[in-house]
Amino acid sequence: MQKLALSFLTATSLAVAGVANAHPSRPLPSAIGYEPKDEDERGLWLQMDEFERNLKQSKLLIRDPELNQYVHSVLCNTVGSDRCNAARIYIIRTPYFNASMAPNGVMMVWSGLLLRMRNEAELASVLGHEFGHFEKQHSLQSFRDIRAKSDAAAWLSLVPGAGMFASFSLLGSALRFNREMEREADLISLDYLAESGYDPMAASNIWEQLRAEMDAQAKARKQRSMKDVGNSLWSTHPSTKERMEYLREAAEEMGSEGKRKGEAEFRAAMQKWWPKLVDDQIKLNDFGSTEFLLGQLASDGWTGRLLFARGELYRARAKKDDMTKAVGFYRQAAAKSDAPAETWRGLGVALMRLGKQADGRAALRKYLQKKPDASDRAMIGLMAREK
Amino acid sequence: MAALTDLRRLFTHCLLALLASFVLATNAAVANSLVYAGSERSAVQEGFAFPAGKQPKITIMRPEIFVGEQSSGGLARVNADWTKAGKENLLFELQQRLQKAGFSTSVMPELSGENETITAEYRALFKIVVNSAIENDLWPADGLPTKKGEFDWSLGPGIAKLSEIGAGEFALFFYSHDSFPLPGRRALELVGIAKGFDAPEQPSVGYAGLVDLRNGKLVWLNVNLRIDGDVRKPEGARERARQLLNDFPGIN
Amino acid sequence: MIRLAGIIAATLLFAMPVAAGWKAMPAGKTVAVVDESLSVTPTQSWNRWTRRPSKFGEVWTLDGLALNELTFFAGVPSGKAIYHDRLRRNRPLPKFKSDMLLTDLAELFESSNRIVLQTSLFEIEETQPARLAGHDAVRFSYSYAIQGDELKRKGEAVATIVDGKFYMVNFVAPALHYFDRDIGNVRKLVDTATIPG
Repeated sequence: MQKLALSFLTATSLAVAGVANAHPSRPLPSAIGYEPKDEDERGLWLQMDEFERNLKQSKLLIRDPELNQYVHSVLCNTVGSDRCNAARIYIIRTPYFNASMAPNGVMMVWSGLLLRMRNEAELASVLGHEFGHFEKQHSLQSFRDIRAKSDAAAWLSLVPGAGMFASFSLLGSALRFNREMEREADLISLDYLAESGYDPMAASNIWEQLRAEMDAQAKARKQRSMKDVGNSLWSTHPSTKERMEYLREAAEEMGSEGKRKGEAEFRAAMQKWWPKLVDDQIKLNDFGSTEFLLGQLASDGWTGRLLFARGELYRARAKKDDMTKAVGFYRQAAAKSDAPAETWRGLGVALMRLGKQADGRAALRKYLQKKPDASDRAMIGLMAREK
Repeated sequence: MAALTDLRRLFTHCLLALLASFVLATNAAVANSLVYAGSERSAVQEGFAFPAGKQPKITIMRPEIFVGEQSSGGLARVNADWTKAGKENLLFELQQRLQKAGFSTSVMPELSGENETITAEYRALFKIVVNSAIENDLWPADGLPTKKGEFDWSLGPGIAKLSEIGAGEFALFFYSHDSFPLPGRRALELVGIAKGFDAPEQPSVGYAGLVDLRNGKLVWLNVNLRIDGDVRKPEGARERARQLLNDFPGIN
Repeated sequence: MIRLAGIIAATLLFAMPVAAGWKAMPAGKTVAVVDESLSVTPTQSWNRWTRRPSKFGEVWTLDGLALNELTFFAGVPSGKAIYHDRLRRNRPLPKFKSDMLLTDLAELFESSNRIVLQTSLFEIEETQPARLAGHDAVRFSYSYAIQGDELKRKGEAVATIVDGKFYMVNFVAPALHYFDRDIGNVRKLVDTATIPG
């Protein structure tokens, strides 16, 4: 069992719901305001700065000020307002689970990660973990370690002429962490959760959910689950199982009683973006993962929007009974007040594919009534006409 | 189709896929055949001439400059100090040379927001157009049959927008890449030479192109796959600038 | 945290494009494409890439694939993806089904492109009834951006189902200048399409 060296506050201050300054005053980590020391480091910083300059222009950036402000505020709740401004947060529109932080303070959070968080505490644990890598300067350590080896250029596959860091993935390949570093960042994250009053079990829950998602994905594809496969897109060192377990044990020691989850706050903040992110997820053609995630989002009940999404998912896969089930989901959605107009479009198309032309057309006409300025009105209008 | 779209990404993703492969040891065989077959080519749009009577203003767009080291594995890593020096020297020397030839010059200011976005998009479009121009006109190993024999490329008249946000009547884009061999790499080369292999020295690569912002035409392009001059030093940058501006209309 | 995956981009950047040939498609001359499954009469001279993206596809360009890319799909049977399903284990592409409605074809195209191009920034803009090779078809316009590329791209495609098989003509170009310049001629070309036999 992993012995953890955690710095605890007294129980009373932990009971306070995530107030930004509930952190002990400690000296700022040397990572903040760090200036590169030698030629090689200056080269690395130059590339990271160039990367950030390009990132600021990227069309993949989600610039919505409210969402950015929210994520920033969660970071500040988590690590303290004295240090959260060391990070410049960039939210990237890409439907996969990932987050990272570079030595110069650039923090990237992928929208697929936001879709997979169930509450504010989970987001806090991710942000705290990344911040932990940053404050312990793991990237720099990693860079120095690899540089010391004979063919030091392996650390950064620079493509001359491509513009440095042509993609996020190149930056990521350079900033990889080993097992010890991941564990260290995990423990720091737990520290932060403890200090800020968030539920420490959130850290372990993320991995549990991810593993369950991988199971669902594999089942739908009739493949072996990737959750314990090394070197898969999902796995890292240490394995997700190991992390889930030592994080759970640590959280049990720390206690979840009365700790903040922040589910309502998180949902409110994500409200505006969920439809788009769910849409991105559906269009990945990954039935198992999407069905699982929709179920997670529906933990408080199936809203009209979620039922609509489920209808779209089944209609897209279109295997055996899927179309009939899709009709069922669309109809359930239609009975709710928050069903989008597209619900009737999906219903209409599904009915028509089942050979129910008249019912299908009626549904399409209802779509057009609800959304007279739809960008596909010409096409749908034609399909909806009585023959 | 994935191959096609990957290629599309490749062209759009990489500055110059062709050039990039030249500077890698792993592609030495291909690089050699093209490099030794004449490593510098340029083209001018037929009939192009600068407007008479007025001193045309040429604005240098934010360049891509890489000065770094090449390790024994053939991969390069940037040196910040060298790159900074190289950039400053080249910007200075290019402007000097253009001014001596009677042009007025400026450097495109750092922009933000919408203006930076549109500038970045034109920089990206420029790279793609140059890529096509290199494949079709400068080293036409596999050129498009419908474009044989004419150097006719455009970024579209909408590029006049750049003149509204800080550029002059013409925009000069340039690229400069240097990878100095690290001791390991140098040792490899010496060993190779001793054994009788022709281990190619890492060439320095540069190109420059001029776009007429009044109509979007690429009026001049010069590509040098074995360019000279140590840009870390003013004299070296002066030589590099001279070579980059080879066949520049109005300079000789 | 999970390290960012994807050395794929770097690998691709190093790969030298295999030299493939081009053949001129002169203006005014009717030509069969995709193994004679479709016939078109270009109104300007194009270049056909001798390298085929898939069994059911063929690509043409005017100035270079990254500047203007015209793709023909013809005779794609039910159950097949429209692009080569290279990563079918981890990123399978959706399959065309012959009972799809015309609007489903646009969705199929969108989902396929999002997966192949690895982007979520893909928007179908307008969807309209159209004709392709004498059959009822759907025409849709779209735009997208991909990671690492500052250039937004615009596209327009016309698709239909004939005898249970998928047919499409798709044109993509940078949103800056090239799409607007060429789309008029592309539409004229699409109007000349016929399915032989």
